[in-house]
Amino acid sequence: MEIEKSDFSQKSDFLLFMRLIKSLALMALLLAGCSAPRLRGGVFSPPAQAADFALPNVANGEKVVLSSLRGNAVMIYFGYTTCPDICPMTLSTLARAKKMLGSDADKMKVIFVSVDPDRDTPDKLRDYVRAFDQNFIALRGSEDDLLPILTDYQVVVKKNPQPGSAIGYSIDHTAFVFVVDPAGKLREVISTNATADDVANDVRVLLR
Amino acid sequence: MKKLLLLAGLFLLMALAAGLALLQPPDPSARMAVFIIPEGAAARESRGFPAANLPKAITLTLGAMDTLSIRNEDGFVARVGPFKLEPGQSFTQQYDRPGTYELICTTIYHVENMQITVIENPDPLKRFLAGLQK
Repeated sequence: MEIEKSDFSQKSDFLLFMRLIKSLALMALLLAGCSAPRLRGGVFSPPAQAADFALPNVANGEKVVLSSLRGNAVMIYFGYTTCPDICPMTLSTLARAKKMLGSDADKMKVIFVSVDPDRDTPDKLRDYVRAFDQNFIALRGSEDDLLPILTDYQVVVKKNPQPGSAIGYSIDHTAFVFVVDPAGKLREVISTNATADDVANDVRVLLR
Repeated sequence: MKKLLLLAGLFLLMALAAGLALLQPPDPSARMAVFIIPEGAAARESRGFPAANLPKAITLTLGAMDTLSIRNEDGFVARVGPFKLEPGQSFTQQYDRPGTYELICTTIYHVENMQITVIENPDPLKRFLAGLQK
């Protein structure tokens, strides 16, 4: 009889222990939910519709319309191929982020808009972006085409003459990446010090 | 078995405490630096008066996951750094790395230079909790 009691007590303890384990697992799930990934860039709230634009794709000459890319996370970057540091660094970060996305990679579209159409010939631009990722899109328009887009996105572009240098001039330009969500809204800007992990995280958040 | 139960109970309590700490930041007011571009800012500046009460420099503490928020309550578009804030729109940035960041904030008439310094939080517990939150 004593033995039966002891068995009963051990079973009861075991059940209680299992309940505690279940509670811990539930709590872990709750905590995981509380720390859901957030956007790591500078976020606009409420997000406004991203200003639409259309510029020729240097890969085929056909115009790319921003609004036709709905359903994707679109990264828009304004730069130039002679840029010594920020542009290659940013494109490299975006390329690494895209690789981190695995099966979602094709839903991250990167648009590189040249702010230096005089020097960035279509061939030069195409080769430049493909060196980072075969699917990056390079757009090139005339200065007249660019002006309303730069105004809409508040992009600053300023030529700085470099007398005596081979490049002739450098360009100061806004270096943020403008991020458009799958609904076509300008959700955030990503700064140049963001990591590939930051960018991949934000794309995942936007595609959820 | 009783020892095991005691240990599990203790762990449960600790997890609960950590959960509560995560859900309720110790001092919400210290974690969000909010700046407002007030209604009429652009109009006042056009008349030569200071408009937005934006400081030249602010310091955020990294470990506490401090957040910068700028809200445009004016009826005109305001420019913050390289982007614009529509009337009624907010810009929020949580800085994850220490450093100094420059923001140029302008209404349509005036330029405000704003520098944000993000420093490390020396409190290891806060750093740990912030890491869990991320």
